[in-house]
Amino acid sequence: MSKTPATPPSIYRRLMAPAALNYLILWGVGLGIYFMAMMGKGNMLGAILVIVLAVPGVLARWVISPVMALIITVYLMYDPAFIGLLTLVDSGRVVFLGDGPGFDLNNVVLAASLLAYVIGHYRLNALLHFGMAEDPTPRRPNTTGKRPVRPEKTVPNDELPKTLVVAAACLIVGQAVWYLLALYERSSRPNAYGVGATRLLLVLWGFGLVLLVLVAALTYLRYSRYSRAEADMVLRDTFFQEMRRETDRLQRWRKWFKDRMARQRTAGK
Amino acid sequence: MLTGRGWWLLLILMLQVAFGAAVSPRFGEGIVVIGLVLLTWFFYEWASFVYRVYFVLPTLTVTREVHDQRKAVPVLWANGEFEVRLKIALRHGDLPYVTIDDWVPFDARVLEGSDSATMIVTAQQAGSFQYLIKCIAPGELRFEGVRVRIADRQGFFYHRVHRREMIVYPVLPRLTGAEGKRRSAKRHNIFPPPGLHRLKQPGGGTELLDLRDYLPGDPPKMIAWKPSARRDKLFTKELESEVPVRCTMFVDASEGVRIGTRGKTKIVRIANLAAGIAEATVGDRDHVGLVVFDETGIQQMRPQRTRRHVIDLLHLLAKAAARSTPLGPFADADALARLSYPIASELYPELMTKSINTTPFGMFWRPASDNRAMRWIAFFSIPLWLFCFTPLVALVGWFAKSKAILEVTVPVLSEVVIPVFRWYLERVFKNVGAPGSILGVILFVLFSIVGFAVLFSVIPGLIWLFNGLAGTMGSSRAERTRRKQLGLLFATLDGDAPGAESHYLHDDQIFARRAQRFLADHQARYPVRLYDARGRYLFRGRPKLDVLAQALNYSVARGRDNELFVLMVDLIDLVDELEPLLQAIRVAVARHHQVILIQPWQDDIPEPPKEAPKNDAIPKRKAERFVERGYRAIIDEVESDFITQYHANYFRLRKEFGRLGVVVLRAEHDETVQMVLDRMDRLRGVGRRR
Repeated sequence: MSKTPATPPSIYRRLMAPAALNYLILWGVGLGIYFMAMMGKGNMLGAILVIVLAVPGVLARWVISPVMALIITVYLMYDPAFIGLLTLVDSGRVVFLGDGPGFDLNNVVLAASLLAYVIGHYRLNALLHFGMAEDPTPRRPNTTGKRPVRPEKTVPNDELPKTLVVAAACLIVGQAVWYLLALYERSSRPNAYGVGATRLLLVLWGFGLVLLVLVAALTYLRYSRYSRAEADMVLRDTFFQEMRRETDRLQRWRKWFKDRMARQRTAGK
Repeated sequence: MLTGRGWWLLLILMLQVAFGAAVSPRFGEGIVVIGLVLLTWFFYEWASFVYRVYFVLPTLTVTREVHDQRKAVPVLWANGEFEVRLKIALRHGDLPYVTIDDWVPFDARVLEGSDSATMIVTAQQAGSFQYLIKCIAPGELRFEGVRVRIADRQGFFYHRVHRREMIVYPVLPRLTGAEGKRRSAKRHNIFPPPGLHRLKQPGGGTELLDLRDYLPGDPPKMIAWKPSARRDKLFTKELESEVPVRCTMFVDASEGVRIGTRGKTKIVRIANLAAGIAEATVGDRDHVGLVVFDETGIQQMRPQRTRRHVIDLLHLLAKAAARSTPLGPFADADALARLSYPIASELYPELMTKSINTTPFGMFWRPASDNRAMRWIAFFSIPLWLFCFTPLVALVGWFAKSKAILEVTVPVLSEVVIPVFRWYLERVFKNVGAPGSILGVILFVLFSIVGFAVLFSVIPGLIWLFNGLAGTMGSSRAERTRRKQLGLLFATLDGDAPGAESHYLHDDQIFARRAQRFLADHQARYPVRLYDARGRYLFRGRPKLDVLAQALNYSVARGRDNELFVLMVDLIDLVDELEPLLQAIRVAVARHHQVILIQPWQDDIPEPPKEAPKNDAIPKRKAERFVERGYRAIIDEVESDFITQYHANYFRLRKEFGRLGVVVLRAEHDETVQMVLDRMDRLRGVGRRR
């Protein structure tokens, strides 16, 4: 009796599983709030477009969905309701919001909705389509072509509440960072550059600083956790890199000599 | 650590924040706030993942148990089915998404369940999974540990480590129940006491052997009163000698018997056979001993009959069967590198990562001096190049008023360059026509010199460039990467002196030998070259004959009344050099011991005919067959020759040993165990037959 492989459940059935359903709701709520927030800014067309892009992102593992949603959102902030695009006029001058105080509730709501959507999208994707890198090896080739997904049993009951708390904290921190940055920029006026350029420089410096600290911390962590063999290998590798040319030259002569001796032996000399 | 998904989102978010900050005075702060919030969340997930990788993952422990149907066992049996249970625990923290892939030994096959599981592991909740394996052959099962892969909940980050929890389980040869399967026809009514069998020699047993005349000094209790009364003469009873039969098995564990496909090597067949004989012998309450020998030495167990002794004997057989494929000379270094590299990458990912085991670009550059053609190009181009540049150098020397330069260049100019150019100009002007003026001639000469110089320097330069770059791409690059990374790994594992890796990188034989050892250590099979350049078999194992002869003499010297020596040796390739072994066997036979030779039969060789073929004539029409069927016919002919030679050697072996009264059996024969037991019965000297 031959065993036929079990057919995996359909995407809709998998979406109805409790763990996926939680994130589906989060995803849907995020998109709903986003839609309303964008409607409030007169961006209904753009919001519908984002939703149209978001749905296949979950159903058909369209990985570019959240990135497209972010790009469209940015564009809609720049050119609300695609007026510039539709009228083919200079879109940058349609709306001028001016120098804000660093805090706007509408922005916070929009950011919260997008964060909920992005979290929901990626976690749903991990549960439904592709959770972890395949990393096949010769002993474990991926012959079935299936991508590893995060099993439902690995989603504990308290995961969603914790995620919401973290998301709220990130929302506050993100907003606070911007508020402090804007405050700092305002307090340091007049600046050598314009307001936008100054803020850009501050953001770039901030990124640089964060990445510097991050890289230093990761490097330190990696070095401090090297095993004896790893540390040994680092030294050997350094030695190899420094002495490579010299040892190559020596080994080449050695090989030449061995070949010559082998030829002589073969010839019976 | 970051996956493609993570990199893309990070890049977009950073661009969004930068763009949003730049345009925030004109178009509001929404863009930058959204970007910063998402970025904060991204960094939070990153930080959580880093924490898990560096602080939680090192506390992960893996506990492994192998169960039979009832309980955890420390020893496995060949062809047995066992359940491997793994328990994964954390000391603190949690891993929300972790995949554990167990390293199933090469000599085991997964029957049921999966050797991989995805789970959540926390300090409070340990993860576990199990799967069913079957041990293919006796030897050892080496569990190398588990591959641990962790990811975050979104798939932005990924990390893989190999948790080395090396544990070795001996796999004993399967007991075949040979004792239970023997024929049960009972030919006599007396069942000897355990372990005692009758020998037709007077001794201290209980069964009557014979009567003889009374001799003064015989104990009165030994007088047979009834016959004495009948004959009116005193007779003394002689009783049988009751001694156990002692069987000593000589198991060949030399290099030659360790070659072959997994689970089908000769040593595996010998080990299974020896286990069957030992079981049946001890089941008869006889003594059984074991000598495992190879080209260098022996491991010996004196004959005993306890259950514990049999288990120890099986352990020794398992160790013999677990010996790796021999380290053969003349191995293909690149083929071994291709085999070793994936195993090394899986078992030592932290030592094979390119961040510490680097592959700098310059390493791949192929020096021109390594290429024989390049050496010839250089040989010809450099003199031509010097030839063309000599006039220019002379000119520089003339302007600089350098006596040294002029002293070198002027003779070259006058003796070599000018005559050659004169010849060249004459040929050109003869064919094309000379320029109208002296200036034209000078200009023509100068252009010719420069043209030739450029030609002779640019073309070799381009060849040098392409030759060098050829090493940085394609298979050449992959080969060099493998050699370098494996070389550094071997040097690190062995604790070699700095610079040892360059030997592995440049010397094929050194690398091949170490790669074979690496594969053997991890129980992987690898190809070995069986014949040298002159077609001589490399694993004949001539020294093992001396070792075996010595071991046999030792056993004979310490043997008792009736010993049976079972030699399980591959002698097919040594039929011309059997003399030392034959001498030892003659001694054993002279001491009234019995010897059996069991020849392990090669898998792909058909059974020999009943009798040795007598017709040694060379088959006719070979050449016609080769012409008609081409290479296929040649291959068939070679195979046929090999089989014929194998059979001929086997018959010769039978003849040589038959002269001494030694039975030669083939190890693939089903009745081999039974024949050994029959021979033991014959030793006992009674009519009991199975």
